[in-house]
Amino acid sequence: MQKLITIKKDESILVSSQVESFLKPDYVYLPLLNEDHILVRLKDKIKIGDALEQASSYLAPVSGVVRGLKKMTSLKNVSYFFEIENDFEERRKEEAKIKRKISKKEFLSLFPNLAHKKNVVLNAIDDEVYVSTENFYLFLHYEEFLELLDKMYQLFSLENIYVCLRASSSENITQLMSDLGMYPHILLKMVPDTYLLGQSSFLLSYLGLHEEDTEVILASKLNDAYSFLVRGRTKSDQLITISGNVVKKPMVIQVKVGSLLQDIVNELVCITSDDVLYFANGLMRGKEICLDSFVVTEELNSLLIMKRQEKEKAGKCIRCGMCHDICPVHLHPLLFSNPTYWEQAENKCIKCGLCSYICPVHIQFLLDRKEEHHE
Amino acid sequence: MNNIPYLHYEKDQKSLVKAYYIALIPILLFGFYKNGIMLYQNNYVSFGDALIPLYFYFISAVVGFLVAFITKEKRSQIIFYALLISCSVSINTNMFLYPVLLFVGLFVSLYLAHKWQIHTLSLTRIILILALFLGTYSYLNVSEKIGAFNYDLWDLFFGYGSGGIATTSFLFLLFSFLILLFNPFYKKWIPLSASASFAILFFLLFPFTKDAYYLESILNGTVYFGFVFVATDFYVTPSSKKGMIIYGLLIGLLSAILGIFIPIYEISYISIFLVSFIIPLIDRFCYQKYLHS
Repeated sequence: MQKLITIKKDESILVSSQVESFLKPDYVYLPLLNEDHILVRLKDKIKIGDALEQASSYLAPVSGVVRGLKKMTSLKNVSYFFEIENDFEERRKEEAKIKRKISKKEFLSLFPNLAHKKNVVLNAIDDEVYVSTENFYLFLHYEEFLELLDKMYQLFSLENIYVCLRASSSENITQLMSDLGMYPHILLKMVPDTYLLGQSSFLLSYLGLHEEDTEVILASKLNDAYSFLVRGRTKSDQLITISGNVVKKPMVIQVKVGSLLQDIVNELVCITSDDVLYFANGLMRGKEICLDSFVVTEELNSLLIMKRQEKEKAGKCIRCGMCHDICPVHLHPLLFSNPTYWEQAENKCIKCGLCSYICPVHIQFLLDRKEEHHE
Repeated sequence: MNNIPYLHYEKDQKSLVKAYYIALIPILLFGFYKNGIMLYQNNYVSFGDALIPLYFYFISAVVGFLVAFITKEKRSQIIFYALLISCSVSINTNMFLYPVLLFVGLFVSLYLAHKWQIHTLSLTRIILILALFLGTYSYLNVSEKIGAFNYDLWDLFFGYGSGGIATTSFLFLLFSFLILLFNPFYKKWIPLSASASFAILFFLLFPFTKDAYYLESILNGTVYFGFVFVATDFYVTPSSKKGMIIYGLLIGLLSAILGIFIPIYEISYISIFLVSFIIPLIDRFCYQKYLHS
């Protein structure tokens, strides 16, 4: 297995164990994927779970009125969003009852590869520093998760089920241990605070399991599956971590999908500095964003608010070879500027940011490559 | 992708430069002892002459500072280059000519290094020595000239052999190497492969030379000083581990061959200078499978 490293972080940034909520936004925004597939018209009344487009996985997270299309930004590569005015009535498309029996077919509709797998790994590991989203999904719903995993075990005659979380998540471990006794086939695996163990391939390699016979399920995905299979509800909310060195009380927030990030920050976050930068999905793999008209989509798992710092000017490469040594997929970041090499490397590169993290002269390999590509 | 400056590995280039300076301390001190204090204690030189090694260190640092100031290069690196040169020259070097030659050598080398990928440090050293060889130049200090002490092999290993002001001690170079090993950016594969290939070829060639002086040179730190400090230059080396090993092997082999014909004091610098020209070829060899598939 490739040697992975622990990212050095500011230990004073700790996410609060209390979960806040932002579930009553005035407006929500859903991405428009294809203009030709629109199913709703202006001023149409919609319920939670209604589809606004054909073949779109985005379903209305609130009940309300369609107010039109608006240009917004998000992590999704689309420009226009449906604007829905919330009527706060929380009307649902159909009021589903809690189901006690789930069929194999229903499981396979969400996890199509499960039929050929021997093991299931529940991944509740957050790779990014200062982010605790997946961990909180497990922390909040561990009883439901264990129940669902047990059903999976029985239906698919699995050999083992692993629940993986960071060894540093002590609160989670204590709670899980008390419940795990009832499920002897579910094994708790604590992993070290090492970067990239949240990635399926590295986690499996760490656990000594094979990709072909193991299904890795993220805690957030299992939560969606539980809501859908047991409670018959479509995804209408999600967790995001908001933290950073200027956030007075870093926290995990339950938000409606499609909410405006600016509204969430204004209402719940106390920022101790004026000159800040915003990063979506972490500092290692995420990107800097502008908060104005930024919509929460399912791709967003965290917002880090950091005090603006001068970037170190990249120096001349000292040819130490560390960028290659640390690359988890054995690429040569030094050759990224070579078009022939980049052609082969582009798909293999997992954009983990480790090459820039280790570089002694602060070269941002991927960013430089992006800018070159842009020109 | 945006981790700079919020997340970065705890060490960077500054830490490498710092490690180099720290690694230099033991050999600088030993150089001062061997060519200054020890000679003064045995009444071979006056108190003033005992300070000559310190003069060379100091004047080199000043020249390095000046060159860095004029060329706008990184001060810490150029001063370090100048200090390395002061370690490698003889104690008999002309004290007045030295700073001038060092200034010119560094200046010319840096200028050439800007135009082509040339090994600055070894070129400076070669320019300096070529200029000094125009006069009489000997690496023997006063006591060595008159053969005042009888040294065994252990003494040679400890550093009492002849050579540059602070390059003779194999033992202290080992300490320096160990200090540098703690820094992940240090290109350890170069000195390791260079020393290994130098030693192996040296013993293979020994039956043909059968020269006692040649045998002694394997224990002299002079050659290894080049491998540990000069060959691991900041910029002019291959960039992959495989490339570094090939580069080191070539330097070691060439040094052992050159050792038959020319004094060991110069062999590592000449080898490094010559092999540095084929770094692009080494890189191309190491990366060819990625760039042509």
